[in-house]
Amino acid sequence: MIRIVLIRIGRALLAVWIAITAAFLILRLLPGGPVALMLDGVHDPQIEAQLIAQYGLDQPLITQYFLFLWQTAQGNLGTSFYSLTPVADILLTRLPWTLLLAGSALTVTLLIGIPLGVYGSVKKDGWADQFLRFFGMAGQALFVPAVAVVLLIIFALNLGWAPIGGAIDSQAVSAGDQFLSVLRHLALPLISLAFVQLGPYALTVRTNMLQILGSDFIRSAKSRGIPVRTIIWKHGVRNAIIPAVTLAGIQLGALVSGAVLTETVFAYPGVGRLIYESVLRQDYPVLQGAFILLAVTVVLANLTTDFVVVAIDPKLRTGSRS
Amino acid sequence: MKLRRSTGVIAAFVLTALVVSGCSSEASQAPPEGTDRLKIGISTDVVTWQPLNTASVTDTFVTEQPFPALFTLDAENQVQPHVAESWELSDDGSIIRLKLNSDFGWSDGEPITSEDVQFTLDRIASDKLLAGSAVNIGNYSSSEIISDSEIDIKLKQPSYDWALNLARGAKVLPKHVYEDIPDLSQFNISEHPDKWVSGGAYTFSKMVSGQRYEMVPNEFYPDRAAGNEEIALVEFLIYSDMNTLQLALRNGDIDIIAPSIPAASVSPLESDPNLTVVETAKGLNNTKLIFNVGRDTPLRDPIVRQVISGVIDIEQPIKVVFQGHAVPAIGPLLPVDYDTFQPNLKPYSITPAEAKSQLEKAGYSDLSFNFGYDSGVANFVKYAEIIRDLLTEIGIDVKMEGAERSVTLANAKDNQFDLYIGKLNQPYTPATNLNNAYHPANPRGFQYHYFAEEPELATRIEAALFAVTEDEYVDSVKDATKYIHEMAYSHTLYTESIFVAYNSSRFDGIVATGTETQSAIASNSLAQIVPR
Repeated sequence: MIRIVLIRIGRALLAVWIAITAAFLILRLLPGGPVALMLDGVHDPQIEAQLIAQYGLDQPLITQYFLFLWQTAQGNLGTSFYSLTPVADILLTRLPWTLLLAGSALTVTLLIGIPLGVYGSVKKDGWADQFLRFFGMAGQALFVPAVAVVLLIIFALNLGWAPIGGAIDSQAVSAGDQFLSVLRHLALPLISLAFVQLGPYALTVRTNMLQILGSDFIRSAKSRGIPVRTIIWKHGVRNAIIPAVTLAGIQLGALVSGAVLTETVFAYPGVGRLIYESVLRQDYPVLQGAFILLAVTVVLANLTTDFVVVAIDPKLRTGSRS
Repeated sequence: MKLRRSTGVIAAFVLTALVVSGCSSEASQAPPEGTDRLKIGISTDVVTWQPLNTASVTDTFVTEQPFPALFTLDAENQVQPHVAESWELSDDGSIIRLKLNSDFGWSDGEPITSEDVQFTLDRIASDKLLAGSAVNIGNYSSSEIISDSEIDIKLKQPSYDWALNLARGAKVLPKHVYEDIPDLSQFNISEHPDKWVSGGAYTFSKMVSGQRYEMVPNEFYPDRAAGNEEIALVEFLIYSDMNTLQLALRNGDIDIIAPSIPAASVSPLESDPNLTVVETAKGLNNTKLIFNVGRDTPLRDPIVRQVISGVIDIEQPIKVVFQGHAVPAIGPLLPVDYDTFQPNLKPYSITPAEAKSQLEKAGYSDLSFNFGYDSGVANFVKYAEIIRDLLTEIGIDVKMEGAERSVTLANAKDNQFDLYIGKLNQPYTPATNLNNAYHPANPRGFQYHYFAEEPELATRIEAALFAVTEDEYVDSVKDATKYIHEMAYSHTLYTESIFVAYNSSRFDGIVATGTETQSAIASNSLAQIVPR
């Protein structure tokens, strides 16, 4: 067991290292460069040289890379080229919003997706199952920003039920007002994100459930007169949940990357929108810090689901197979 | 089981409440009741908070609010007194006497004096702030304080143009607030609320990065319209793009859109009875087709450039692309300067048959050029296609190389294009505008001209830059303009109008001027807005 844990942690660290190295290299391969964009056409070779030296961009690439690794290992994510603010501080102000959005979307996906998938499998080919299958395919085909814009036009602009953008109204003063304002601003981004994730997730649960419900041990449980509800929830869901838990970890990665587009459309002040704005400016330290954060988040989520799955399925603890 | 379930629900609720309260801003005083709140939408977050050190228009909307301009522009782009009442150039053109309006004060109660002006110029020069390019700081020598309201600014080289330019773009920093900062180019104002002192109409009260910036009135600002005092809070709210900004305006979430809206959005917004779009056709910008004469191609021959300029209709594309909301351009200057500096310039105009004939006579056939442009700007894409089609008609093959902005910038800087479309905001004086766009030693903006072998061009531009009297200035600018037009170094396509969209059922007094940054959202302009 300890060996399994150590191996998985080692793989996670390797994945994070590959991700941040790729991010470092890709940024520096982008044409133009942050100084050119920062000066935006102001031609002053002296200022240009000064900025390039200040940001360490005149150093050889390998030197920049090892300096970046060394600083990251010490917990120093650098300073924004533009605002001169520590990247860690910038991310800390934005991260809660992304956690709220992605976490809420994942929660909604799990809370609705699992029961929906189970119901679809039990009522196979019924109207609910057919709706689920259609919904699942639509979710896979739809593009988050497209859903977001449609929701904005219908519910914000035409019906006035939600604001166009932002995360909280500045006029909300009391804790209660702030809470409601945050929920109101969260609604449409949450629906956008959850809408495209929910269907495919429920479909996966449905598929797994159908497989389990067709198994010999389920048939034998039925023949022994065990109540249907017990068979479904105690035997069926418990076995079908394992791939769903794994999928949840993968989906967290999709939710976080989907947040980039969602937050941009809704002007939601999370890490996703920060990434979008920083890409336009090629603010290397902010982008590197954000990618590290996202890589660690996704890797941790997958690591967690790995351990949860092992905890659920005793067969996986000893490596034995059914 | 039931107890575990309910405990889980409660725990989830508590966790949500904790996260939400952790996300939300700290409790603050409620915005004032019975007074109005002006909400301005901007399209990206502000990132560069060093004073007078950004080239970004969006940053400027917010960050330069505290730093009042010496002079302002009105709706006719005429210079008006503001913090400075007047300027006077010495007979030899080397000293500018500036007189200040003693009614202006900083929000902490200190008056704005000539020490502040001296401090600003000195620090722009020593700290190499980007605002230096706007005031040609390289020609600034020193300054001498005559009194609290009078200062002599000394130039390294006499220049009438320098004095004119000072009146177009110079801002003032508070000396008593920033004098202890060793290098302003490394100082982030947003992290120091104690330095939030303003000489403009409003001063910062709260900043929530990524969301909004709040400002309250500067009680020592003297130049407010009657009724403006009812606006007790100005909020800059951040949205991600122009589409969302327009939705927010229509939804009532904001009252004004800070950046100029596209021409295609004017009619849809105006169809809303609550909204108004103010237009100034006297934009201080030019969009040009630039000919790269730095590469060894037939574009080095003025005849080829003149022919290409001649086949491009200057009016028809404006109707198609801008629905008429742009001004056809002739020559290298802005429309506001035509009457004074290029009254007799005529646009090149030839038929495709004549163009083919002229090229053949000059010995050119099977010409092929590559054409760079920012593919993210819809107007550039449309114009590029129109120009491609016109040139194809006269036998010139055009390879379209539109790309994302940073790619285009990098390629232009690396001398990769033969033809290039670029827009330059030109809020400066005629000679400075010519210098910025055409001087061989000063390629600027998106227009990476390569005129290293054009000494005649440099000579004429410098004559304009360093003319000492007004008459010399006008003559030398006319001369340089005529030369540039005859040599057809670029073909000016159009001048865009500036559009300000706002909620007219709530506010009045919005004025559009020639540039976004000096328009409705400029500090002095905000002081003229009144609630309905």
